[in-house]
Amino acid sequence: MVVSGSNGYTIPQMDELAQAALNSLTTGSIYALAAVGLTLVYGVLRLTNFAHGDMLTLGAYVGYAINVQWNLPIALAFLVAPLVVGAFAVSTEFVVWRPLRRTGAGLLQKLLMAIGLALVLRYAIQFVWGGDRSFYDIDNTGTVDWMRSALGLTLGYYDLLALVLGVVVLVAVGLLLARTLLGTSMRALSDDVDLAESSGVDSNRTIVWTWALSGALVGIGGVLFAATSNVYPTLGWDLLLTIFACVIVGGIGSAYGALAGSYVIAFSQEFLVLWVDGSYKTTIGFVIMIIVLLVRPNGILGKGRAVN
Amino acid sequence: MELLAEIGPWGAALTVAGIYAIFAIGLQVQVGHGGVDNFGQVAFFLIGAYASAILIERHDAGLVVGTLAAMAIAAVAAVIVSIPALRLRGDFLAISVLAFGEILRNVAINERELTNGSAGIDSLEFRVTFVRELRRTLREDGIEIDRVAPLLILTWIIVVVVALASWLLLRTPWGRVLRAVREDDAAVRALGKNAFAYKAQAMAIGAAWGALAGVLYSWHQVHFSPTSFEPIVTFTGFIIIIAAGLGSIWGTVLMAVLVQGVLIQGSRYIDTPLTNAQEASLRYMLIGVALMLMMRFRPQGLFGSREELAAADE
Amino acid sequence: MNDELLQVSGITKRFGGLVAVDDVDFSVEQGSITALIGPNGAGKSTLFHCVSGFIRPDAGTVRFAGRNVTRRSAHARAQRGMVRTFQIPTAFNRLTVRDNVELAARDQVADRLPGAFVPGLGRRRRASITSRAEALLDTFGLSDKADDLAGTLSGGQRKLLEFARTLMTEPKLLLLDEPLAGVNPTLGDRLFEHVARLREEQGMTFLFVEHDIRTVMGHSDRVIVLAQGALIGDGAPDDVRNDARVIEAYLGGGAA
Repeated sequence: MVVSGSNGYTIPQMDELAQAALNSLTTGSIYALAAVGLTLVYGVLRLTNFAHGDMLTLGAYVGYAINVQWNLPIALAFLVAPLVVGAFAVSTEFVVWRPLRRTGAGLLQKLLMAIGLALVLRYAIQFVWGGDRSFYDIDNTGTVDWMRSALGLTLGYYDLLALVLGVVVLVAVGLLLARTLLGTSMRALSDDVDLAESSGVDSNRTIVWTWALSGALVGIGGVLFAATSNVYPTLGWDLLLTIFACVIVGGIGSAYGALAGSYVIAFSQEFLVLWVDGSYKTTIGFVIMIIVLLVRPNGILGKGRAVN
Repeated sequence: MELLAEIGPWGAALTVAGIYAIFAIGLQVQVGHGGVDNFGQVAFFLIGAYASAILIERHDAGLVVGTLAAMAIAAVAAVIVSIPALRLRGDFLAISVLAFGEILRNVAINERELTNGSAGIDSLEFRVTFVRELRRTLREDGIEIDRVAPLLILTWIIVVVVALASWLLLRTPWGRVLRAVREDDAAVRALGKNAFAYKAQAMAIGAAWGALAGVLYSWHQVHFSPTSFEPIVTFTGFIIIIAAGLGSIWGTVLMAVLVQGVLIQGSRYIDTPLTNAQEASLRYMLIGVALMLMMRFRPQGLFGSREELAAADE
Repeated sequence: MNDELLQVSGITKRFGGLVAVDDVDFSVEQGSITALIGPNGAGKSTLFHCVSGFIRPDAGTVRFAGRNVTRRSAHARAQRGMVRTFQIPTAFNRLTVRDNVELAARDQVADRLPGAFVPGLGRRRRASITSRAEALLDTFGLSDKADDLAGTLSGGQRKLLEFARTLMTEPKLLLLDEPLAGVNPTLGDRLFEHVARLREEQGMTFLFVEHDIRTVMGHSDRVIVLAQGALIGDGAPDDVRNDARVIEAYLGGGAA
């Protein structure tokens, strides 16, 4: 890894640090929307869903279709994308995962199935929308004025939206997990499938809702990512390993862990790129993930075991 | 020799199939015999291509030395990666080695001084210097061969050598312990054998084969860039070894020809009303569909037995 | 005391807040058959894992044949002659019964990488391994199964196979993890006939873990009792059986 010449070797200014902190809140919120769904599916199904990133891409392109191709308000995207991606995720449960579980599939089989699904989804998206980078038809140059005048920080309107929407949605998920029957069932299944089922948890129903929630969250994440930056077919795949990093750092299977992990990864990336070339953002995420796997294999809040 | 005068597109397709055969045999040693789910095999393919191109083109290492050095670098890299990764449970191991491959690709994109970044790098020595010389010599003897013939022949000689070497090695007591490790590594440790070393060695050998495939790929391409080293290369390898049945070396060679030569390379020559980009998307979707159908209906491979896959999960 | 093959001192292992093994000392004499017993949850398995190197203890040392092996890995301990079996017998199902036994032999040339690459290397060693495996299979009545996959064996046969495989390593100390678990009495007696014979003929030493105090009586010449992670009894079988603390532990802990 090379220290970049432009601003390397110098100590970053206060405002640079503050800006990095602000950026990482926004980025962290988007990561969290993706990471929470991934970790819930892992918790309930013990399935590492390699297609999760491409579900994010699907969400981003649903937003693109609404906003650019059909020229409808962007707000609609935030409602439709989670529905579409949630429905897609649920359909994979019926078409792919439930039949596969019935065959008593092993780990390698499940991993490769997820990889296959990821490829199909990603290249179906590329087939439909082409391989180029596109932008939403929104003005995302606008920034929050008082942030600029009072603090000298840049916060785009859509970054603010990402931050606020992210926090609101995640709080709602937190309440859902803590207060509802569905949340209780999900947590019970994560802990012990047999015990949960013998205590009357309807596992199939819970699994379907877990998929729906996972898809809806990552769908919103996709729209937010595209709105704050851009959209291209490998977007989600490129983000996937970073999202794994968030999930693993927080402790796989734990929703709050994924949340914490997302901000840890986002902060680390935004701060380290003050010294390291920006194109190494993803690498930073991996490296942190690998360090965590070695030092604290269960993650910050995790109960699961990553080590033999 | 008439045959070699004009071999056209199928020659190129068969060369790539041979390259994938070598790549997938490496994967077969790691996954099929060692039980290490190496989702990052493309990393060693990348090391092979870049290391040999840099050594041969810029440092005049020569074709043979450059190739052997690239294989050695990949083997050492595999051991280094194994030290942390082999401690991890199945899915974490898979994610970590996949990440390793993506890190290397990232490095290849960003370290422009070394790799020329996303513009890519040349590997001319074999195709330009060696082949031109060879053809001129042969022409003096009245023999005409196609430009792609030397690499096609060389690749398939290497396929046979690599397959035979792997097959023989896996039949030795070393291969026997390796398969025992795949089934139950605690039991192997209890017998006084270093299970970790066996897995790491399988990783290193598979990585060396992967790098050798990468070297041949760079000669085939003449010019290549980081986009050639996306994870899909690894997963195409997985399709090949699963279709062949985990563990089967010769089946791997056959399936490499079927999957890579016929389905993927061959399909490029079918005319469709679609654009090239759309055809490429469809090809990748085909890989995905093939993988999914196999996992659902034939996880044991087209000829293999179901227990092989179950044993690989231990 | 030079005839102590294994010396365990101060072994402690915690899991979170739970102390599974608490400062345990004991030793095993050369040529003895020692039983390690205790009620469920006494920490026997954890202690056994610490001795065999599958778990690293938080404190304490394990000395084997005069050497400190506390920081040695499981396979390094096995190479030195301290070899364990498993509660549920392990077999390499996709290998033949013969291969299961042969692969366990120590000092093979061709099961290490450089050696494996050279054809014909270690051929003489291989021949002796083959004949020794043959003899072991014969002893344990597995000869006619030699070329079948180990996955086809019955539970009892797997137990015998594991035993034969372990003997192939030429151990000095054999650690048997619940050798009688899931085994019918006839087979259990047969196993311990082998144990007695091996001690007699080859001076081999045995340490085995069992759950039930009665079953170990006729089979061991010394009994170590563990309860709630701590050592509560150590001595000749009859003495231990009549020890008030041992009775208390079994009635209080085990029966409840």
